[in-house]
Amino acid sequence: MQPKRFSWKKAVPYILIAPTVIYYIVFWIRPVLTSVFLSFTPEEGTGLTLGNYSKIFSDPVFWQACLNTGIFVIFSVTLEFVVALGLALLINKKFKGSSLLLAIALIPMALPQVAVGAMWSSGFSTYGWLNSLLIQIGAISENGKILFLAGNDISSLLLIILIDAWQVIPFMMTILLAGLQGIPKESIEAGYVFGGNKLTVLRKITMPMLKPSIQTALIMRIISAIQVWLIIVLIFGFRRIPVLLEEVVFFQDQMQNEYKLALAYSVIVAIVVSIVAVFYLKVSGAFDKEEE
Amino acid sequence: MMDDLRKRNVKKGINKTIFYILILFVAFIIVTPIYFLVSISFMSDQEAYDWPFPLGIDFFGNFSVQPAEEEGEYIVSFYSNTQGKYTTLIQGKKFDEISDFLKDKTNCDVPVEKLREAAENVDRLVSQNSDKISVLTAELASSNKTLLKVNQDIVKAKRQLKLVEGKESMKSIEEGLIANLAQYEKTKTEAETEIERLEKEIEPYNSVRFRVTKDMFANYVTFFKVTRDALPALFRSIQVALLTVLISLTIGGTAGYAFARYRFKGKNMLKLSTLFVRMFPGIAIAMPMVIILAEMGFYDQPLGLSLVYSVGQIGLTIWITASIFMGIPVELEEAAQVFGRSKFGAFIYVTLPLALPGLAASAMYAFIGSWAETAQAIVLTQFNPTFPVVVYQTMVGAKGMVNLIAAGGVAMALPAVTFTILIRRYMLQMWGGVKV
Repeated sequence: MQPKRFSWKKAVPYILIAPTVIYYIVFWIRPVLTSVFLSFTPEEGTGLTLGNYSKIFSDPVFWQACLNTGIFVIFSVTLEFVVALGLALLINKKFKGSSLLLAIALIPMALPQVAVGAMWSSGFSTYGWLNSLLIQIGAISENGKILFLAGNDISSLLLIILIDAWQVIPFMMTILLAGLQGIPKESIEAGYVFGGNKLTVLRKITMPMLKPSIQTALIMRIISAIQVWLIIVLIFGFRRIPVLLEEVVFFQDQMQNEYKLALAYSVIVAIVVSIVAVFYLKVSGAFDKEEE
Repeated sequence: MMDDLRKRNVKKGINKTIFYILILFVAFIIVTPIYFLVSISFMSDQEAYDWPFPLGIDFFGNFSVQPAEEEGEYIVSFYSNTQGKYTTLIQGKKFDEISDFLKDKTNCDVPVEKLREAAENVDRLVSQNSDKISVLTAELASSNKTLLKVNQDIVKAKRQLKLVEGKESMKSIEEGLIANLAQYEKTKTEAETEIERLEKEIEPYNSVRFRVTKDMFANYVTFFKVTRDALPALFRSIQVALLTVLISLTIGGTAGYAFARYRFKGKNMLKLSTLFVRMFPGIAIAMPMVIILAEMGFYDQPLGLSLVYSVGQIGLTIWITASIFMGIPVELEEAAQVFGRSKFGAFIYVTLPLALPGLAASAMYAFIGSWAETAQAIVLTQFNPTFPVVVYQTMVGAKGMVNLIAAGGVAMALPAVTFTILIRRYMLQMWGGVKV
C-alpha cells in the first residue's frame, strides 16, 4: 500500500486553526495545569499535599460561600429567565419605538461592573438616590428612609440578585426577542389553524423553536452567575456575603501568604462550574446536536 | 352591530395602552439608575452633601452675599434646591480665598471681581435702608427671643408630663399640662412663621444675589487630578484594549474563516472551547500567569494583560467571524478564482472587503470586553493599573466621595455603551443566531 500523500489542500484548515490551538495551549492550558498543580503544594516548602483543600473544606465560610453562590445562581437565573421570557412574549411585535427600546435594553449589559457598582452603591446607601427618589415622589417620608444595606444575609443577597437582574434581564429579553422574531409566522398560524389555543401554541411551537436562543443565553448566564463576586464586593465589601469567587480574591488580594489556598479555591470553582455546565448541556441536549 | 364594533375598538385601545405602559415601565426601570449616576456625576460637593437629591440636574449656582457682623467681612450663601433657601457657605474678607473655596465646593467659578462688585452693592444697599433694616432686625430679635422661651417651656412641660403620666390621682394636672403644651406648640409655630417672614422681608435690603454657570465636568477633571494614576491608566487601558483586538482578531479571525469554509476534525471541540475557557475562573488563570508573564518580562505591562485577555476574546471572535464569513457566499470567491485570482487573492479582494463591517463589530466587541475587565487586571497589575482598577480602588478605598466615584463610573461606561449601541445588530446575531 502506498502511504497516504500529504495534501496541502487538506492541511489548510489545520494551518488556519493552528495559531488558536497553540495560543490556548500556551496561555490557557499551561496556566490551568500550573494552577491545579500548585494547589496541591504547601504554601511553604516542597512536596505534594492535600492541606490546602482540607483547610478549605473545614472552613465554615466555605460552606457559607457555597450556599450563597447556590442561592444566587438558582434564584437569579430563574428570575431573569422567567421575567425576560415573559417580557419578550409580551413585547413580541413591531411597534413604534421598538428599535429605541432595544438600544436602551442593551445598555445595562454594556456597562462595566465597576460602573454598575458605582450606580447601585450610590443608590442603595441610606442617603442615596433611591431613597431620594422615593421621598421626592412622596412614596416614603423623610424619616422613613429604607436601610437597604443593613439587612440580614438573605435580604442582602436578594439585593444583589435584583441588581444582577437589572443588568441581565433586558439583555436576555433582547436575545429571546431576536429568537422569537426569527420564528416564521406561518408555523404559529398553523398551530392556531389546527385548533391549538394560545398555551398549546406556546408550548408546542414557540418554545421548541426558541430552544437554540434559550440554550445559548442560559448556559452563558449560568457559567457567569456561578462566578459572581465583583458586584458583591463593590456594594458590600469583602466577607460580608461570602461567595466562592469572592473568597478566591479575598485570599489572593487581601491576605498575605494565602496564594495556594486561593488557587485551590479557584480549582474548586472551576470544577463546580464544569459539572454544572456539562450537566446542563447533557440535559438540554446540546451535545447531541454537536454530534450531527 | 355598531355596538359590537365599538366595543372591540375600545378593547383594542385599552390593550394598546396597557402595552405601551408596560414598555414605558421597562424603559423607566432601565434608564432611572443610569440617569441618577450621570446626574450625581454632575453634582458639586455641596449638592452631593445636600439631601434628598433633587430630581433634576442643576446647570447654575445661585449665590447671595450679605455683610457679616464683623466689620469688612461678608457671608456668602448658596441656594439649595432641596431646602428651598440659601445656606451659608463661608464668611470672610479675602475675596480670592472665598472664590477658591466656592469653586472647590460648588463647582462654580465665581470671579473675584464679581464678589467685590456684589460686596460694594450690598454695602450701598445696607446704608440706604439702614432704618428699615434696624426696625426689622429688632422685630426679628424679639421673635427669636419668643421662640427660645417657648422652646424652654415645651421641654419643661414635657418633663413634668412624664412624671404625672398614667397616675390616676394626677389626672387633672396631666390634662392641664397637655392643654398648656398644645398652646406652646401653637406659639412656637407662630414664632417660626414670623421669623421666616421677617427673614424674607429683610433679604432684599441686606443681600445681593447673583447666578453663575456651573462647570458641569468639574468632577471629571477632579477625578483625573485626585487619583493621579487615572490619566495614565486610561491610556494604558486603551493600549491594552487595542492590543487585545489585534491579537484576538488575527488569531481568532483565521480560525473563524476555517470554521466557515472547511470541515475538519475537532471542529466541535474548538467550537465549545469558548465555553470551556469560561468555565475556569479568569482570576484563577491570572494567578499563575503572574509567574509566566514575569518569566517573559511582560508582567505589569499592557502587552502581558492583553495576552491574558485574548484567551477569552479569541473564542468569541471565532464565533462572530465564523458567522460573518458564513454570510458571504463562497461562490463569490470561486468566481474571482475563475477570473484569475489566487485563493488568497480572492480572499483579500473579495471576501475581506465584504466582511469588513462585521469584523469591525467583532473588534469593538473585543475592545469592550478588554476595556471593562477588572478582576484579572487587579491580579496582573502592580504599579501600572488599568482604568477599571483605578475606579475600583477609588470605590473600595474612598467611600463618601459619591460624585467623584460617579464621574469615574460614567467615564468608564461611556466608550463601552457607545460601542455596544454601534454594534447591537451583530451582538444579537452572535447570541441568538438571528438577525433583528
